[in-house]
Formats: sequence, C-alpha cells, structure tokens
Amino acid sequence: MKSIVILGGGVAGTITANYLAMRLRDEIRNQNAKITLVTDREKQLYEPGLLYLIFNRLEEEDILRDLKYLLDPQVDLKIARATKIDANNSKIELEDGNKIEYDYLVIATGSRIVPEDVPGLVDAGYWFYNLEGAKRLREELAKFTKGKIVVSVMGIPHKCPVAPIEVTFLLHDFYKIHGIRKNIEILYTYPINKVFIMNNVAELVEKMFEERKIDYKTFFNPVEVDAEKKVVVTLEGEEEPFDLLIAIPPHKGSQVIMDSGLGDRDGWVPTDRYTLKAEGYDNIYVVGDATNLPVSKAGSVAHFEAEVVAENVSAEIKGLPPTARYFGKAMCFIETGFDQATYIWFDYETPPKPVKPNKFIHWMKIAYNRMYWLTARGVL
Amino acid sequence: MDEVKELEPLLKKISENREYLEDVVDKLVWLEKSGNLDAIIGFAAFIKIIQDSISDAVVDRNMEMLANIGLISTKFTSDRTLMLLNALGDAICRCEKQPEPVGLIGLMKALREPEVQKTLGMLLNIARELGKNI
Repeated sequence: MKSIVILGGGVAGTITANYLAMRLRDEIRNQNAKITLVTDREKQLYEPGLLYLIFNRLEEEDILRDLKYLLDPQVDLKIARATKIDANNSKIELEDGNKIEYDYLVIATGSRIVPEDVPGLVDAGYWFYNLEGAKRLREELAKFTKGKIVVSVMGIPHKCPVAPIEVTFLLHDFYKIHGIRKNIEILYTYPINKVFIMNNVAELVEKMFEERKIDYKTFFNPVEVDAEKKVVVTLEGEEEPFDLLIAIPPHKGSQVIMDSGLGDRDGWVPTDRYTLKAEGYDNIYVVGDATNLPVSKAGSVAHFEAEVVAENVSAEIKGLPPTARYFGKAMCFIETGFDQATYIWFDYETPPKPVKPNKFIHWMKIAYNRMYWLTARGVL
Repeated sequence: MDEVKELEPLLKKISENREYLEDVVDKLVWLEKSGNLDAIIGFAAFIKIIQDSISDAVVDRNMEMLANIGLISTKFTSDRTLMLLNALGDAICRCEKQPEPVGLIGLMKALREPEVQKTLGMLLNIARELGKNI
C-alpha cells in the first residue's frame, strides 16, 4: 500500500487531501493507497476573514471550522505536531515520539508571522495576520477616534500580498462611516519603490490613495519600533511617529521546515516552479505558502497548486506519467472599500490587469467568504 | 472661443485613445445594427436594480446557507455514502425473488449472519448520531 502524507491542515493541505481522495477513490477502497493529513490544529482558520473580523464584519465562529468536517471521509486525520521531516528516510517525527513513514509527502506547512524579529514591535504594534492579533486590533480600532494610523509592511514576502492595501482602504471607509475620518491621518508604507510589487496594481492604488487623502511612503523598511516614543525607525534613517501602528510583520516558513534543514534561510522550501517537487527529492511535493516560489502567498495559489500536485501524485500511484504543471496562476480580490472591490489574476507570464472597482466584485468577495469552505472541501 | 477651449481636454483624450475608441464605435454600431443594444440597455437596468436593492447582509446570509447545504451535500456524495446507496439499490432491484416473510425465529437466525450484524451496527450508528442532535 502506498502511503501519502500531507503535512499541514491549512488551505493547501486540505484541498490537496480532498483532491487526492477523489482521484484515488478506487485505490483507497482496494487498500492500495492511504492518505493521512497531519496537523497540530483541529480547526482550520479562514485567514482572509481576519480582515473583516477587525471591523466586526465577521466573527470568530464564521472563520473557524472543524477539519474533520472539511476532509473527505477517506482521508485519515492525525492531530499531532511534527517536529522533523527525515527526508532521506521518508519519515516524519512527531512530538509524541511516534514516526510516520511515507511514500509521497506533500509539504503544506504554510508560513507564520515573526513580529519578534522587529525589536519593539510586539510591545507597540498591532496586526491582523493571526486570530489573537486580529481580536486585539478589533478592540483598538473601535476605540480609536483621533490621531495617526500607520499601516506598515515590514517585510516581503508576506501572506495575502494585497491585504495591507485592503486594510488601508477599509480604515478610510470605517472612519468615514463613523464621521471621524477628518480627525484621523492614515499613512501606508511599503519597502520597495512603489506601493505594491506589481506595476498595474501600484498605479491604481496610488491614484485611489490620493483621491482618499491617504498618505503613502515607499522605500520604507522598518528595523525597530520605539514603543516609548511611538516611532517606527527605518533602515533609510527615518523616524515615523504613530498613534496606532498596524504592522504586517515579517514572515517565515514553518519551524519544522527549518529544523529539518529543508528550507532556505527564512524557512521557505526550494521548489520546482512547474512540477512543485521539493528540489532534490523525487517523492516530496510542496504547496501553498511553504514554497520559495516567486508567487503570492495566497489561498488561490495554494488552490491552483493543489490541483497540480493531486494530479501528479495520483498519476504516479496509478503508474501514469505525472504531466501536470503549475504555471504560477493566482487570483486575488482587492477590497477598495466597504462597498466596492476589484480583482486581479496573473501567472508567470501574464501581468495582472485590475478591473474598475465595483459593487458586484465586492459581493463576490462577501459571497466567497462564506463559500470558501466548499473550496476547502474540494467542491468549488 | 471659450467653448472650444473647454473641449480641448476631451479632444486630447480622444486623440490619445483613438485606436481603442475606433474599436468601441465599431462594436457599438454592430450592437445597434443587430438590435442588441436595446436588450443590453434593458439588462443594464436589471443589473442596476440588483445593485441598488441588494445589501452585503443579503449576499452574506444566502451564501452562508448555500455553503452549509453544499457541505452537507458532500456527505451524501462521499464514496462511502455512494456505496451504501448502491447497496440499497441492489437490495431493492437485484433481489432474485420476492423476500419471504420472516418470523421471530427467522429474525434470530438472520442476526447470526455477519452482513446483517454489520448493517445493524450501521443502524445503531445512525441512531446514536441522530440521538446526539435531537
């Protein structure tokens, strides 16, 4: 019997597991294949929902679901923390001392924020890139009535590349609805020479920021936050004061990747951009945020990659040629306010072309916030 | 003279985008000639009504309901469910002869058959799950 282990229960891991279960239905029934998903969390968090949670548009119960209800019943769910991947011997070591052997491994360990990498940020900053941080920020946004908000991207790559732009637009609308926008200054900062990594999007966003009197600074690379003076200190030598700092903290790959020596300096797994195999390993695939690929760390990327990996792993198990290739496809909604949104799609060769922001795309996003669970289940 | 001056920015824009505008005019003419333009105008009004009358809450509630129905439906299309439904269909359609009436002794005898025992186990599972939610 061939054993497929998927490490990680986020978007990438769940979709891959469900697609594999669909493709290997007969092999599993005849006990020629087995799929195990290993994760240390019983619930999955719909992370894009955190953007809405901070404005009280979604609640915790809306964005958390039990993994056992999201997985095909043919997938074995093992709740355990993996401590090491022994790639040379095709084994995973677990915190409880057990080991799991695999014939094929799909690494879907995602990414994590490391606010502690910027001195002072934990003491003085807020973020919405995890549930605890988002809940804390929700309280603060509701209380904030006057002063300067700095939305600062503190490192690239980070999860959901457009989220910092979205939160900035939503902050503008949030305080406008409350009638206090005039009392609040909003500044957005980005580490490179434009407000977003892709030109077409940067041009649109800069124009919309200007229309809304949202300030922005580029080439802004924070190295420290002075919690007492309430200033962000940058590599470029600037000191930017704030009353409320909303940071997009630096990101790294999972600890188990770093501890297993499978990642680069920041814990991203070197991955073939087309086959999605981990470089140097023929029986290891990588999906989602865990890769070192030059694509967005976004749910849609995980989704499109999962299709390719599931097709190739199932082909290998059935003795067919694994010919599926990932071509860098990504799709992102961009909320430009509480009543309008745009979206972009792009791949390795096609640059994004945002459509004019409108209400229907905003509703598509609102709808998708609910329908996401069907994507995780492999239906949508 | 002032009126002409006011038109300058518009003319500049037309000149800058001449290539695209020619395309747009061609398409408009095509739509008008084919009679589709009136239909599109009607459809645009329909879209506008939706835009003006629907709210985030309506989209949110309906999609939540659809997602819940979708997740439940996956349970009824899972491999195991399909096998069970298939077996039920076989039991109904493929019986070689009409089922014979079974009395208490026949029932006791049948309870020793492994297939019947497995089915009873499944029925108990169903009863337990239902019990948890009643």
